Amino acid sequence: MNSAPPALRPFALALGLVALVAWPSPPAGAAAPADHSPLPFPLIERFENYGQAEGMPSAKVHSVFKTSDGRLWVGTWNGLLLREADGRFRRIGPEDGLSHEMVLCLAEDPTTGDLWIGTMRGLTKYSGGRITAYTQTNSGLPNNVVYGVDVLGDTVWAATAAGTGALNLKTGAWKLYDHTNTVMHEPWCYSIKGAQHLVYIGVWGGGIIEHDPKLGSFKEYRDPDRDFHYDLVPDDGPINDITSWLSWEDGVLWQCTYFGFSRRDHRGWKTWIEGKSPLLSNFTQFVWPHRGVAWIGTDRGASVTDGNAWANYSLTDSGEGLIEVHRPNQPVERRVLATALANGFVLGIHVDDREAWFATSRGLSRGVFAADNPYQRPATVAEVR
Amino acid sequence: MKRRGYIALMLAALMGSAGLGVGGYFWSVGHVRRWTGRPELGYVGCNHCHFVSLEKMPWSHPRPRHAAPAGLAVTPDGTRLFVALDDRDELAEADTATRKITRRVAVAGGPFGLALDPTGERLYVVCRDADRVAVLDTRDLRELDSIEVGTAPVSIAFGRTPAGDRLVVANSMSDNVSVLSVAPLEELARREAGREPYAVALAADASVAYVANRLAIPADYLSRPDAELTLIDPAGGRILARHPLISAHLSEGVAVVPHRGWALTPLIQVRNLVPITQVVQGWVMSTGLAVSQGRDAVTQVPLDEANAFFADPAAIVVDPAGQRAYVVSAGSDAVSVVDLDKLGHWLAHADAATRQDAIHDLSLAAEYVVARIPTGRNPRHAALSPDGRALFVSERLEDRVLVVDTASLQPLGHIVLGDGGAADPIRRGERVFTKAAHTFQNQFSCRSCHPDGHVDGLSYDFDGDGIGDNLLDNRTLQGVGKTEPFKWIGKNPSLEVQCGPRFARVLMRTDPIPPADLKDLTAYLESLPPPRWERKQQLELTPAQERGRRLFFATVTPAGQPIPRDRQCHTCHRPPLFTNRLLSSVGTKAPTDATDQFDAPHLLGIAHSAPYLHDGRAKTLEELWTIYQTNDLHGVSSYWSKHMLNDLIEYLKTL
Amino acid sequence: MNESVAHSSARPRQPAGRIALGLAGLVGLGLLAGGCGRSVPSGSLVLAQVPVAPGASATAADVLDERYPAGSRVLLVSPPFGPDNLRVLSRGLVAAGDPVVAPDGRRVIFVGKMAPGQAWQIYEGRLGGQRPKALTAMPGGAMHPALIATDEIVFSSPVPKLGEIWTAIEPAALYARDHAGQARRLTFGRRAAVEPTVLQDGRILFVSARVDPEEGKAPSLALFTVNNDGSEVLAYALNRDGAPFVRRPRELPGGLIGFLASESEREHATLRAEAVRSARPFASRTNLFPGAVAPCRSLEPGADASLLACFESRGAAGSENRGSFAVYRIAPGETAPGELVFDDPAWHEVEATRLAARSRPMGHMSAMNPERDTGILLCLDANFTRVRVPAGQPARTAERVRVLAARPAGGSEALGEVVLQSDGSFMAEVPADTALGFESLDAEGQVIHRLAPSIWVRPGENRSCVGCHEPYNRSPRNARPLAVGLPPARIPGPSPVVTQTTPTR
Repeated sequence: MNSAPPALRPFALALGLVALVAWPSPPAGAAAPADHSPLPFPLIERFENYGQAEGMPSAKVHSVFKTSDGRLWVGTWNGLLLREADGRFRRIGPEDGLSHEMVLCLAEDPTTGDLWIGTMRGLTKYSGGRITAYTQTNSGLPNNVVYGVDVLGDTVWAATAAGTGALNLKTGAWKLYDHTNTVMHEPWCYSIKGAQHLVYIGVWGGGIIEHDPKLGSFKEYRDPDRDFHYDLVPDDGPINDITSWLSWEDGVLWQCTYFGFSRRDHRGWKTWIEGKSPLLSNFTQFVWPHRGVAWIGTDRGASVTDGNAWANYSLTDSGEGLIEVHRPNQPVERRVLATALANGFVLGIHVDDREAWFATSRGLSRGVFAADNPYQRPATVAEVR
Repeated sequence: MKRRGYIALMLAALMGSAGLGVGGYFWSVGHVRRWTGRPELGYVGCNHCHFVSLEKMPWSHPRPRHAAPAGLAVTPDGTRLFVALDDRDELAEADTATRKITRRVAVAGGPFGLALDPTGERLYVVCRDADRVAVLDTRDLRELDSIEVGTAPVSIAFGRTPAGDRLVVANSMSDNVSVLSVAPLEELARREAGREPYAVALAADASVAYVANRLAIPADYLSRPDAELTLIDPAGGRILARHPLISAHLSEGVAVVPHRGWALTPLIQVRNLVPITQVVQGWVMSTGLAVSQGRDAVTQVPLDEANAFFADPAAIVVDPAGQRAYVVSAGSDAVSVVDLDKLGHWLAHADAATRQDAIHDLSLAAEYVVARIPTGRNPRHAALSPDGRALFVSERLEDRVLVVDTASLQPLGHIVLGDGGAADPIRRGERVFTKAAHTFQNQFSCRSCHPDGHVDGLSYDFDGDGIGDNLLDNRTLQGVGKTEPFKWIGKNPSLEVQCGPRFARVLMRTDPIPPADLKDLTAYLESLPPPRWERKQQLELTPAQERGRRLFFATVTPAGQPIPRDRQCHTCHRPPLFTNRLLSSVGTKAPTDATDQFDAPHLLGIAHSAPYLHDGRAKTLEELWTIYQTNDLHGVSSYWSKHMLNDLIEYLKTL
Repeated sequence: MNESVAHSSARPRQPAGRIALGLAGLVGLGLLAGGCGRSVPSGSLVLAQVPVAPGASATAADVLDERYPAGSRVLLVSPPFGPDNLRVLSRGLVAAGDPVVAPDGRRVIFVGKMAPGQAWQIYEGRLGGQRPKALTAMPGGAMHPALIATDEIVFSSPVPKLGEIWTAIEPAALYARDHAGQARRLTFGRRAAVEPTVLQDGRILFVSARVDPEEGKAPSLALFTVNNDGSEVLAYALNRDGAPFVRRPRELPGGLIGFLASESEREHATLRAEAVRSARPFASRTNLFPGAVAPCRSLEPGADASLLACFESRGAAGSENRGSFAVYRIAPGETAPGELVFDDPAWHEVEATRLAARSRPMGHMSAMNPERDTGILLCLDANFTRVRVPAGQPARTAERVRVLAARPAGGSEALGEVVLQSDGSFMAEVPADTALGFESLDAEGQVIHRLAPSIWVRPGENRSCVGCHEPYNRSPRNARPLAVGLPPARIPGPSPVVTQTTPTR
């Protein structure tokens, strides 16, 4: 990444920092510098947006997910959408068996291809065209408000407003985990993610719970300084106890809070906050990890980072699409894009090697990658893993 | 003096016995009121609570075992037929030329379904009662290997996929499908199917496994029940599609049609939402065939005729040329021969609306059903010789296999497995139970609504007590012996009354079942045990189930509040049958119900008999207390947490 | 069946005939001594014979006088067929015919007339040859006997005057006579119900005239069924798909329903055997014996899969007995007349049936409630119909249904209207044992479909239909009709002048 000789590296770093602070930003729309070191993630060169005019049943889009068979699913304020081969969206609503029209989250069972759908009134399974609703009244689901869902082996995990429910797909038995039978600070669970043999539960106001289903053990990760607004000691743990979302990929745990963003890997915790890092906003509400890169949904757009380099997608006051690229030791690259995210309030993201999808409070956006997409080169073994 | 003393003694004895009588009466009244919480005694007797034990139940007694043929498999060279004899824990081998039994071996656990590998060297046997698949060497019929699968496997199919040889097993009681690798014999996946998966067939290239499910998937109250044809990738168990079979159930067979890409599933088109004001014209149910063409197109066509019905379609086989399908009718003792060229021609020329409505057109079957071959009692399974020239049909309640020449459609003879069991009243009763000839135009049998004596998961509207009123959920007959009175309102004091003239009047619309047959039928019904009861006796409860058990038998709330006796679970659902056989009001009277007093059903196997309550309004056990509980009348549940409810459900599943 | 061909020379009112009758009587006495029917040889036939040269008699007054003129008789013939093996079962009657054998093969009933001026009634013949026993004493007479599962007799009454069968103000109806001799009425349509026969499924199949939107045209006869308690009347087959006049329907082997059809009500010479398949009765009407030129007077199941038919031997190639009807054995599809079984040139053998046991028809547990005077009618969707909207005309949706009752002098009276639910369903409590008709009405009250009064409900009967003029042989969709969620609309009974439903005893 760094092109300076080792001996000059401290000087170059200082110069870089000075440049970063003192160098006037190029005006929006100015051409990007010619020689930039390559980024570990693709940049989006334009957005295709889908609003009510394009068939969205509501402006608010909460979640977006592409299943392993390549079909795109979109969770909205008013139903679940399936993108057909011809690009048109087919709506699935309560009249089709969906437990509620307001879809909050989506997850796929990789072994069956079944789609699990968290809604404001229960958990719904879409399997081979059959729709089955699980609610707190017809099943063991702890609560109807399902913020997060994931599938780990034979178990479906649902993060609800009254604890976490685990449905064993072989036996049909439910298990409940909340503040009465775990270390959970409170039962309001916001997200959940399977991580090999572990399950991470994001608890509103309760940090992160690490659960080992085999051992039945629970471990809590809380913000050590317990301060809501300030991260007194950086990188000492989760940046905040209010976990608005979390995700895990390949040994790396990512946490969204309304007061910054955190990562935990084999080296320990790393935290980012707005202003002291390129993080677009402290108000982070969704993260989608892909090949070691976090795609973060915030209230002001989307941040993308591998922990070193950053790319932020936001909107100018006039509604133009703005990209900021932060490379270590290099000036910030700012450009106006031909098109912008449908809205800066990003609630859900799905990224694969070909494209990025964003669920926003004003429609669905597809991020079209620039030509120099690093994912188009053959993936390394680590990337494949 | 002596006489006076004698008189005094007599008077004292008289007064003493009178006192005892009066005291005894008041004590017994108090006792019953104390233990049932009932102010009135009604017809409560000692035997409602006492002198009941599972060992005394008729279904717990040993019964004669019969050589009833189940699954059939013909070797690739067509010389040998294997017959599963589940009731005897045996497998029989017959010479197809001489039609004689050549060997019998013991296979433990109720061998029911069979599959051969393409070489004919390995025979795979699903054992329904032992939840396992056994692998046999067809040279010496030695058991080589065995693997546990889901609950009550009944059907198995072999397929050669790019990922390796696979076995797909339908587990009827756990509502799922096991996908096994053959070498090594391992369960790769267990996938949810529809309700009661009962038959499996693989496409010729093993790219798809078609799974027919016997019951409709529980639906919302008074909504249409649909069954399912589940399409699974045999290589890894991924769900490919789930084809809804609209308003259908009792699919016990499935076959793939070579060269056409079809899957054929026999079914009953049920009409339980329509009040039973008549039977004529298939008003209650009729039989049909679901033709699945590709991913989405499923057309149901009738197998019945305008004035003749062929109840309880079970197995289906298709000849190697894909020109004929043979569908056995277990209730009407016939094989319907379907000309697939004619059916294909009709399908090609019918518009979408006509195809959608076809199943209701009773004059249509004459277009493609070219023959009906009579069989012995209760044909259930079928197989074709590899060249398609010989059709083998298991006449289950005759202990025989019928062999038919498919060129002439004439019988060639029988492979005799047993004596038919005519001396056994239970076997005779099963013949009555499965016989459609007791209903108008052979439209259905007892088994049509009670497969294996269990439930079909549907509610019906009998018109005898008013059209649209008093809907009734179909109750299980498994474990029903000695749980009188019968019917939800406890109207029938005995099974003879339940199944006698009243039944002929409201449902069969023919002559009543003759008294001798009715007696045999009762013997059969009383011989039906609750599902898996012996095994459940030995179950060790998990912590959640144990917590649920304590809740079931709770007499006080955790806060120390006493629970009224008449609203403790175990008062009305008293062990060991988990019923006190009395009527109770649990706050479930609907505006269309004539009474709020309903019979307390036994709970043995309750987890398998959804939906619940007298009219089937509760789709799951949870809904009994989350949606349909009124003022704590159906047990005091207002103090339960979600944890407690889930624990109780887990306990109920163990009964 | 081992019928053998015989040519007897018995003639009525001639010495040889008397000798034959005397012999038959002696044989009958012998049989009586030996235990009546039990000694009847297998393969025996029961015949109805009409003299080829009837004596001078009063002109036919009613339909049976024409079909069975004076001298007609019912007799038992046993193999080897010959003069010695005849036994007249209608001894003492001036005319008889239409024999029916009970399922047990031991009872023979037929229609007969004791004296020229008297009414036709149903008689039970004595296989011993004694005088037959009268089973009915119906005012206006009784005809067309049949037997249901309980061995009760079903018949049609009164016997219509010649040419008035389909126009009579009081049409012939079906009755069942119980074992106590009481007759109960089974049909209540405004058109005659005649020629009953009992199907194996227990229903009574009979002939009546269609009453439909084309009412007023020449009667188009069709086959209908009704349960043996008069409930669940249904159209079974025939819908202007052939000759308009049909008679003597019979359930035949091979899933066939055979009957005789003709262009004219009274012309026997044009009667031909036709059949429908029970598998699709409305789409399978065919000529039973293609190429048959001989008229056919009767059709009955024979032994095995064969049939017994009475053809005029004029049509029989090489027949020496030209001009008379005879009994033939024939299989469906064969060239008529088939193999001659019995022929007496002095007589027309117009009807022949086997004296043999056959499987007993299924019974029916009645769901009637005699204490009620109404029944419930449930229609699942009054807008579901087989009647196609003519090209260019918009399809109209019914919103109400008007219930009609027949007037005795013709026409109908509106009893009331029922509002349809949004799914087209309605449920109404209607007067029992009354010929009812229906009109589906659109929002403007215009009639969309009309069924003139022709169906009925029995007391306490719950009667259903899928639609109005719905496709034949149609099962319902599995949907909950909205109408069942409401109490049935109450339709008042007709004014007394309209009511004609009291079963006569």
